[in-house]
Amino acid sequence: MDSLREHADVRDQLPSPDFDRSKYERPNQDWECGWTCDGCPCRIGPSPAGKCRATAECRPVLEKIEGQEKGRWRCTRPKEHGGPCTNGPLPDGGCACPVPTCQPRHSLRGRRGRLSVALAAATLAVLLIAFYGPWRWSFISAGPVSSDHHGVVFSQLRHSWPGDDGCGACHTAAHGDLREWMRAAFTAQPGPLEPHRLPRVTTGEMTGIDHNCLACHPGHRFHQPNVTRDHSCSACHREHQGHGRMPAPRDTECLSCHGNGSIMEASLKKGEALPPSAFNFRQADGRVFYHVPRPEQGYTRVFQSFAADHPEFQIHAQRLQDTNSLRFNHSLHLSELVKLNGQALACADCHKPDAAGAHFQAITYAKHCQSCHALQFDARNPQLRPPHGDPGNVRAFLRSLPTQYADLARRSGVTAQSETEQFVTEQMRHLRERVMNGENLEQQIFFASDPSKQLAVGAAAGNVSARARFAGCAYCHEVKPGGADGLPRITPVVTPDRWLIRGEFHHAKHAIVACTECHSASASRQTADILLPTKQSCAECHSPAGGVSQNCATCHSYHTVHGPHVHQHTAR
Amino acid sequence: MKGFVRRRLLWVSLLVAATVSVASVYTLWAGATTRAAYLTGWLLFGVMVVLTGYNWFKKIPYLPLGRSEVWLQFHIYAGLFTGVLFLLHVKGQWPTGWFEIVLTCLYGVVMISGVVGLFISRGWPKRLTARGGEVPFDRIPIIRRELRERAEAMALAVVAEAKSATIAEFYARRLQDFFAGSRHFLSHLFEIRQPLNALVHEFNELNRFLNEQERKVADQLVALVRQKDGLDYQHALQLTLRLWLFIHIPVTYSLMLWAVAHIILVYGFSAGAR
Repeated sequence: MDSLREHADVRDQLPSPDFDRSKYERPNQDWECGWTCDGCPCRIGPSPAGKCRATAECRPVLEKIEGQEKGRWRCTRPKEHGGPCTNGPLPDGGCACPVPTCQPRHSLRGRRGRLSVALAAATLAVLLIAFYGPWRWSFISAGPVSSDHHGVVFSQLRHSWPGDDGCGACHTAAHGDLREWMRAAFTAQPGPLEPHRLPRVTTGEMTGIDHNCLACHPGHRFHQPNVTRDHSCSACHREHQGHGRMPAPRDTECLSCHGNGSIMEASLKKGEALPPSAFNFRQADGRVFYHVPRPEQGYTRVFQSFAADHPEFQIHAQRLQDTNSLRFNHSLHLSELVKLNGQALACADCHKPDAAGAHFQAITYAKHCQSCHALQFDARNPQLRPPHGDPGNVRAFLRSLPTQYADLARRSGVTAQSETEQFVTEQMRHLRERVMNGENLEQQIFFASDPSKQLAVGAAAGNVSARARFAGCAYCHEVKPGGADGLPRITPVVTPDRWLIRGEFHHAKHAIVACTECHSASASRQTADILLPTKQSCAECHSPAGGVSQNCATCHSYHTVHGPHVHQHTAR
Repeated sequence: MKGFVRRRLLWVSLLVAATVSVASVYTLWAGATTRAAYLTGWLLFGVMVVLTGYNWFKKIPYLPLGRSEVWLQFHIYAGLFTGVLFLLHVKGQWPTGWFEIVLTCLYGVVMISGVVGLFISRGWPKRLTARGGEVPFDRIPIIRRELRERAEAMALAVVAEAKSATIAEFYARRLQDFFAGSRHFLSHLFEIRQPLNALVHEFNELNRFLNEQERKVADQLVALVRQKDGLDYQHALQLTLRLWLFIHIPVTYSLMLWAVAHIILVYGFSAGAR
């Protein structure tokens, strides 16, 4: 069969089938004839209410010829529906071609409309069920609440509503149902009908929900006293961001003031009017802070980022010095001259991290100095050492030297009284030969500072440490005469635990970097040298170029407790 | 064609200008106010209201609201613009609350169905024209019936004329169902001709059992089969052109209701609430 091609050509373009283009199937109507799917819809079509209106194919008309009384019924079926039928109307004038009735059905458009209404109704129902159901709080929650604002205790706060998971502690609307939510929405400032006011709401402006924060976190004095207005809590502390701790505040919040010249100007003026004591608000909590004098203009310099224009640390900006009276030479201790167990000293030999690893344990004589700097004043008896600390105890030790020697003899295994007395007499004689009398000995021990004239020089080999370099207290300490009872005054050693008190630092997180890359200890010969890195040194890593975070919150905390800060968690 | 390109350039330029403007203003807002999300939210909601209104504008043609063609263009580009606003509003983050997850999903369904609908509306008419045999969608059942009646008449007539029931049996066995309604919907969507080819192949197989008179009728039946297949193609594509609106429009109303609830919750529970 040549005329039949095996495969239809995709590029074949079919001619349009013949159909009456004058007809219009009224697709915009909601109902269509039930016979449409069979391809034979009636020409009347259903009513707008969806009722079948089909009766007969035509309504015959009675034609009378003049002179005739009865007349003749004529079929009026239109030409497009086949024209007059063959059989013609019934004798009683009824149509002989009745149209079978149908069950009209929705048009595509109508079905779409019904689906829209049904889905809208279902949505409304779901919303109402969800808003009034027992799980409404978890349903409407914008996300998991942080660990700070979660838990049984928190849900029992005075603002909470039974079963509201503690939402009421922050959200007043959670004290009621949907009506209360609506009321809260329409009393919000600015309200939902005032979107034009939104651009005028400035960053950091206190809002209604922030006042609820103050119910548990009373007062707003947790930043510098010269802050010109209270800053919105919720602007920085974004809740519903997930479990765990709240995310750190964003830099934009800090820069909304610190990057704003007019706000900083106002803060400067307010700070100038405040007494200096107003700024001494930090709680030491047993720690020793290095006191940095407040800059003349306060901390009001405008800047935009840490790496670019953050002010230099005050210690370096004001060229501050360590006021510690202890004489210490980092350079000497890190040089090859000083050795411990045959090896050069390292930073970690003295600076031991604390339990958290953030900072270091305090340096003490007993733990960190004594092993090298023993107080050996008698070369013949290096085991005998005056106590470190109170000068009164040192004096008492020296004035009881015969007893101390007797004790030493007993500790050395001498038990006979005569032998002990002989040992004491012998040692005292040697001491007198060297220092003439007790006063000279006390003077030397307290005030001698020349390491070349060590008190223990000449000690027998094996009885003295290789580093027994006790020249006298004044070798390390600032010793002045004029104390009570003729005792010398030794200036107390004050070694700060924290140097940069406005920023946080975690040494363990920086363990990847060698100490000397930040702290130039090898070059420091004076105690007055403060070996903190400069801002530039930090910015080598904490900058866009360095690739490490340079957010404000990386180092700073906005909140500084002014006095005791107790959460006022009041039960209902 | 030149006019079309010019119009498209105009609308794309407007979309780009609006995107750049809003992104710039948002950057300023974000630094100056904590309510930047409110502003983008209201803008998004406003555009969505206008977009939803498009379906109603078409129902009141007597109002002087401009040409429907212009409104359609506006609807398309404003719809794409809501994508920009939405991303700014949510700051590009997936929400963590159930209510907002549903809201995001509803928006996603409306947006995706709109883009798919745009793709269909642009591409399907070209396919329909290329294939030929164009016919109004609402006339398809009537034309299908006519084809069926003609095919049935041919199959019956040839029994008496050719004194053979081969074609009539073939019609009853293979073609009756084919002519009864629309067939091979998915094949037509994906331009797969295998069902038609299989049918034509069966005619070829039948050919050796037919006498001369029957072969002429078979030729005519194959022509009707091709017409019916073309009609099915029209039906499949034109139905798809209408079906995507079954997702786009109803879900839009759900989205709007959810958005209103979102506004109430935000104002009732968020920063400005007392």
